Amino acid sequence: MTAAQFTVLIFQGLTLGGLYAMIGAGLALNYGILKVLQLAHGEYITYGAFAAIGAIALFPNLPFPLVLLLAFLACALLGAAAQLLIVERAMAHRNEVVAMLVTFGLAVVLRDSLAEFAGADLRGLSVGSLAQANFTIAGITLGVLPLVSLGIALTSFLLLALLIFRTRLGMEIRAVSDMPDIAALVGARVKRTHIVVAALSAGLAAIAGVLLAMRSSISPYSGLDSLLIAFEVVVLGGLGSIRGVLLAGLLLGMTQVISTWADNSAGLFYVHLVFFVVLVFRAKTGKLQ
Amino acid sequence: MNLALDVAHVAANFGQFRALNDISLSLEAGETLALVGANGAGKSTFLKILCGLVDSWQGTVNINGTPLKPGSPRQSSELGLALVPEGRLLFESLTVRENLMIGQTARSGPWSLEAIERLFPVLKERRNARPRELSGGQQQMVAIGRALASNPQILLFDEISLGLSPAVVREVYDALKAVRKEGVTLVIVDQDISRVCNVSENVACFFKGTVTHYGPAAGMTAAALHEAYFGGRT
Ligand SMILES: Nc1ncnc2c1ncn2[C@@H]1O[C@H](COP(=O)(O)OP(=O)(O)OP(=O)(O)O)[C@@H](O)[C@H]1O
Ligand SMILES: [Mg+2]
Repeated sequence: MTAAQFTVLIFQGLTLGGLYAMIGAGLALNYGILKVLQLAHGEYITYGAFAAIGAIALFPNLPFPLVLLLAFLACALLGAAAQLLIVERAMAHRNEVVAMLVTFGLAVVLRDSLAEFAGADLRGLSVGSLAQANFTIAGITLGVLPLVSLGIALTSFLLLALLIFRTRLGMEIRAVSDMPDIAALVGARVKRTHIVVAALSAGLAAIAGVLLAMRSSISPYSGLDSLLIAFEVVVLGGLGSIRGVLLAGLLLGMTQVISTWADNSAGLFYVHLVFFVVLVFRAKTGKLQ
Repeated sequence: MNLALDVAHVAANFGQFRALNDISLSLEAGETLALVGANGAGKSTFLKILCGLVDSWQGTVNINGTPLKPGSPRQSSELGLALVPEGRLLFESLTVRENLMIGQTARSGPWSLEAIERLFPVLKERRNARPRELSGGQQQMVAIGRALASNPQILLFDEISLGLSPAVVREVYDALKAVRKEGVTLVIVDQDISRVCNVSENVACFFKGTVTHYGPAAGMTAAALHEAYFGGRT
């Protein structure tokens, strides 16, 4: 392998890793703060992709940032409504399993509604000439689209970290996550905070969905595949840590790119293997969290 | 004038177990009440009711003339109550400074972050630390600071000196003097009966969920309190 090939490989690994991290981000946020494993997370990703595909179908000239914003808002609204009407009530039982089962039901209904409404076909997000665009530095040719995708992922993580660790809202979110009762006693609006977190999680999922649909095709039944990746990223990242999710996403992305380079037919096998090995190692040392 | 805190016939059950029975007390604005009693007497439960942390109870509680709804910590906070809970219960995901900031509300008053850090200078030094990195005494100062940051009208302390060294207990009680000067109404639960009675106008003793003694702290004899502490009505 030449140095140029190696650089391209690293770049591809980072890009895919950024996407994987994005796929896990919302799930990690939701679990980390609300302690609810949101099984409809994969559907939020799919809905985000379909929102973007739909927006472009309706308004072919819509600028890409607006498409992204639209997908984010649509899913944020969906996530907020689901939290307000369904999950919040399940959380009142203070039983993580009850809440998780409810999100499982939500996932199935969302998936089937989309298939019913949009058809079960595979679709992709056409980004026009951007798809083929590339640029060359120091003799190495890289695609513009992957770079944009990586940029969006990293920017999202940066904004998320700023929101959680540098704003009053973020402080309230962390306090509610620690001790809801005591947070309420110091004036935090617990339910509103939950809804904001659920909306943000679903919005992050939507961004992941748009990035995913730019890269490969997606159908109403893709949610489970996304959830699997998200789950691995979140568990590897330490169940709710923002930085952990980013690192875990990058690790799994790199793993996939390198293993595919070595063995073209490997698919996701080595990704799952790395996940499993780390999991077993951590379970052995008792450091699952 | 309305009483700052008016409690009438409050009772609470945990399942079949009657944790509080017919509790009646009242505090004028600026008054300090010492609340004493043996383990399991119901002191914490009483403070939790005031804070909205107990979902169902009977009786009435008026705060500055406004009736308290059960199970609404936000209402308690809006009515000007703040709690320094047993075991501190600080937010571990927040720094020391953030633990103070989260206490701040729309209510203005003397307790700016600067004033709190003047009261407990160590909080300024350790402002970026996490609560678990602090000593027990420093944690208690954070808990008091967090409560003060809301500029409360009624401040409740649960086990104010539990687990603290004598020097820290003295520092905490010195801080109380500054708080009392601002006209805050206080309810203080402490096992150190003579110390808490020293700073209080009135003292109430709970025994198995009932009030066995209630009266001025000054004329209180050790013998009478001892009697009440073990269930004798005085
Ligand atoms: N959530 C609860 N569920 C069931 N019983 C409870 C609960 N909280 C308190 N109790 C019971 O109510 C009684 C009063 O408890 P409480 O904590 O109010 O006492 P306390 O006076 O604060 O005691 P201590 O000095 O030990 O702090 C105890 O017998 C306790 O076991
Ligand atoms: Mg107690």
